[in-house]
Amino acid sequence: MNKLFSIIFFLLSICLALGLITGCGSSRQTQQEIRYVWPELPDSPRVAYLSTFYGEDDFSSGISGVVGKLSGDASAIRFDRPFDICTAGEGRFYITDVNEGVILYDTKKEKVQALGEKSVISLKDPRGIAFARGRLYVGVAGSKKIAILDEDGVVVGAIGREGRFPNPVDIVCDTPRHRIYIVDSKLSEVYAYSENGDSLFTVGKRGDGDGQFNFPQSAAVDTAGNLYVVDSFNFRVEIFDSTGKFLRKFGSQGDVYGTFSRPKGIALDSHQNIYVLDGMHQNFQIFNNAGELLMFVGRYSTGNNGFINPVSIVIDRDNKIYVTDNLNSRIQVFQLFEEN
Amino acid sequence: MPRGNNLDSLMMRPINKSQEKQSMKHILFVLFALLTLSMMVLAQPGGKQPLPNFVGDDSTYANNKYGTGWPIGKFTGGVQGVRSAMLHGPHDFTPDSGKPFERDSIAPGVWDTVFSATGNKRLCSYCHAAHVPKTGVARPLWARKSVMGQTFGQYSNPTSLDATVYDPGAGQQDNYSSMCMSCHDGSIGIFADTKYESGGTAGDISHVPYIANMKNGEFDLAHVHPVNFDYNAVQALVPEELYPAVDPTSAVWKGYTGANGMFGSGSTYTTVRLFNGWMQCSSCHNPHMASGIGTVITSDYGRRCVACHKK
Repeated sequence: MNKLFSIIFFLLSICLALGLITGCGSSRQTQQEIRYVWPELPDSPRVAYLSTFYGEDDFSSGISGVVGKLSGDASAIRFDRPFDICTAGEGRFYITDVNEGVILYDTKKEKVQALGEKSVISLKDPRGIAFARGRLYVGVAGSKKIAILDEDGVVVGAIGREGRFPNPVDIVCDTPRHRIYIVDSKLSEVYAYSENGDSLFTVGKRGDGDGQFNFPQSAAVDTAGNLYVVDSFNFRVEIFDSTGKFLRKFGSQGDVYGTFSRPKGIALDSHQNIYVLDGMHQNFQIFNNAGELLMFVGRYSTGNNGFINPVSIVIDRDNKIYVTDNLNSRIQVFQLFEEN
Repeated sequence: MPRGNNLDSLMMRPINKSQEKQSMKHILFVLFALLTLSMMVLAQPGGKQPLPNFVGDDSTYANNKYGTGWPIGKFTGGVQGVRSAMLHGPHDFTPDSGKPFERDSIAPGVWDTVFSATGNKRLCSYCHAAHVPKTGVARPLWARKSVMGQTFGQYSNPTSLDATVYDPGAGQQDNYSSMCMSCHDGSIGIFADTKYESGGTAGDISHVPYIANMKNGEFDLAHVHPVNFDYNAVQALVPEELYPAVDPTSAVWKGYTGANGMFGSGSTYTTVRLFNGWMQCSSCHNPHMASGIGTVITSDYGRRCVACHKK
């Protein structure tokens, strides 16, 4: 009896000692269970995290989906280095992925499709993308031109000879004016074209004066047709009217609130607030239209409270915010609350 | 003798002598076990010893035209030396590169090509933010009560011109490679198809089949090399494939004093630097050079690889 006792005692003490050393296995709280809102209390929440797009597996349900997930279905399309995104209504999103190409992500039909794989113009190495009146405009850094596609991804036209646009990082539509703007970061210029591909005018040139650009990254258009351009290496946002005339600017370089370090994407919500995405702050800052800081969302994170090197931001009519979270290989979706 | 619940009275309880000996033995054994095991836990290395921070051939030096080693002070002419190395190179983003300008209100009549107190602050400022005075900090109008502080916490020393990014793994952000990727995601620079290990551990080496691939002096960025991971942790997983890192007191880094300097490329250079033991883009690439930034594409190619890889 004593021997048994001493054996049990021995084992228990070993277990106790091991338990103290290894520590309790902490239960991994899944990121999805945490509802992130910004700002935090006691300020009223304005923006909430909604969901994430990873790729085809987002729609897997049922046995085949589970089996696919378990076997790590290699053929399922997954975002790798998502660059830009645009909304096309009816739950459709078109995404450019520098490695995966142009991808249709249809949340209504629950399908994900790679586009233009056998197209006449190579869509390899895409950058900016925009959608207007049934047409997709894709900036292709590979062939250095703009490809125009229909909704199924069939090439129907192009803008520019090969080599015309060495790095078309963003394309934005001014739909009421039947116009698109192409931002080229290598040429440091923004080009206004009609939706049919006729050249209208050029905005800016390389420099750091008013109305000039130093590696511009993205653009947005407000309801009046004013053009907002992220002038990344001048660390500012410049605003032009619909004729390309310089109006005003705001922003400066720094790592304090309200400043920029690597400003990338820009978007406007329905209240004409300006959202500027920063690839080194790892957040987007929201400014009112006068350029005053309202708040910011995000930090360096692999979780749903932030990003790693986000590139583009887009806001739809319902004030849903979409961010291409490049190094996390996903699209993050947020919602701006309505003011009451 | 007073009665009561004290130790004396307990000890005086009639116990079988042999039982007493047994229980004493048990107690001593447990205490001994706990003692040794807790010593193993508490006396872990890492805090006081130098981190193994370099991989490669002890007998070679980082030797280039700027001198042995590469902290910024070792550049001929210090900061101006860096400037002359970078000017007109791929990382010179000033729109009027090299043209002197008057140093505005801070030093009127003084002409400079490096620094401006206003504007975009010039050559270094695209990656190193100069400090911003308190008056430059915006208070978020929708987050007046919940948001404290002033900075996004990206720079290790936001109050100094010497502001550099945080050391990787030092806190919330690890940034050397993330900063490189902020341009080399295709938005500004050549797209670097890099396996950025955002988790930092690269523990799952099954998805690390990528190799850096430079052909005929041209970038072939279709292949990738993982960055932003704890080199020592990965090396421990595959010791037959990778050399272990050596500590910073080893002979090869005698001339090295800076904490965050970079290493120039030279034909004798076969040593790779880690950052707090982590591999980053800057382990092999030096952005402060006008040419040879690709480093691995020159005669270094092969030699740089075998600094870490055994085969």
